[in-house]
Amino acid sequence: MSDRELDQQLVERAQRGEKRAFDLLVSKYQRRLSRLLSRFIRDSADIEDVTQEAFVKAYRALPSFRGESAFYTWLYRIGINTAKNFLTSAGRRPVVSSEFEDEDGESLDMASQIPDHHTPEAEMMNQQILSAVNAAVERLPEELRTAISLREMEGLSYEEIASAMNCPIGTVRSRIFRAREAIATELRPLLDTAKNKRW
Amino acid sequence: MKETLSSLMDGELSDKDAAQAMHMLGNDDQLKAAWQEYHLIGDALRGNALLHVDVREQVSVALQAEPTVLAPRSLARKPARPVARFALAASVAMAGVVGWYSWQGQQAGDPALMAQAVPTPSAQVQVVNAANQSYLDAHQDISLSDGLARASLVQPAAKGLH
Repeated sequence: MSDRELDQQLVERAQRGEKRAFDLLVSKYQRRLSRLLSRFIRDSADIEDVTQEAFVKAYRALPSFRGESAFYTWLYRIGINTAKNFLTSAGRRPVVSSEFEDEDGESLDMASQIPDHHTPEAEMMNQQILSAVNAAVERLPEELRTAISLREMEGLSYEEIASAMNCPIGTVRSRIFRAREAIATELRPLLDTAKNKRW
Repeated sequence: MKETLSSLMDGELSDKDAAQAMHMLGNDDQLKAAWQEYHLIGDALRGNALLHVDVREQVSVALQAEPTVLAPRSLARKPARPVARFALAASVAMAGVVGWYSWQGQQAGDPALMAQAVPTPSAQVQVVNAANQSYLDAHQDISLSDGLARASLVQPAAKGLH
């Protein structure tokens, strides 16, 4: 089952009334969507608010989602429209000099804000998470580091990684899992500290 | 089980195993935490995300106030064949013509009855009942041309969902 098919399955479960399935989509896409929104909205708290609102709107619109596009592409459009409404209601003027294009190449003339103006606390948390992940990856045994890098950064399938590393697919599966667990173990204390904080 | 979750994320499970894993994932808080952590790690390695953002709880709370929206199961409907559409339209037209002539024959020369036959607006409306009106009001900013009309509405408390 491909990534897109997995999303489709989660969407269909949510469409059948399983709100928990939608929670999993939120977990998966919240950081990516907020990164997109940060291209239009400066304030970190506003980004989180608009991200949240976009997900709620997406939930309400689930009956209209029929899988003709990938879930994230659909969510992306909802996010853009939510950001646009937010900027309009906040009386922000679009900046003509910078235009953005969406994933389908459509020009977004609302485009607007100078990217990535976050609070120092938010920026620090970002850096701490990134540093913790990078440090944990550096400490991994080479075969785990290679496997997780080929998967997450290069997007290779298990079969392709098995071929590149000259090992069985089962070994790839195990290495990627062990790498994720090792990194997550080092990340947890940081995430526990971050809980309930508003950046 | 976490290893299965890891494979699920990577799209490396069969449909059957994936369905089973998703079911377990929905009912296990530890697995859900791992799902969040693993995706965070992926986002960090790809460098395309705001890593500090976590709106899960806020969204979850907001969704509790939302009615559970149940969409039809078959998402990819096959378009009706042109011949079938034509046949349906022809049948409806024929029924209309036959009905019209039949009615004309019975009512001719009776102006009082003809006046009664004019449909009034109040007889045509009332598609939406009052119970669903608040839901429609809450969703009017989303364009759901036919999607909303096809959705079934179930209040969470009534079904014990969520």
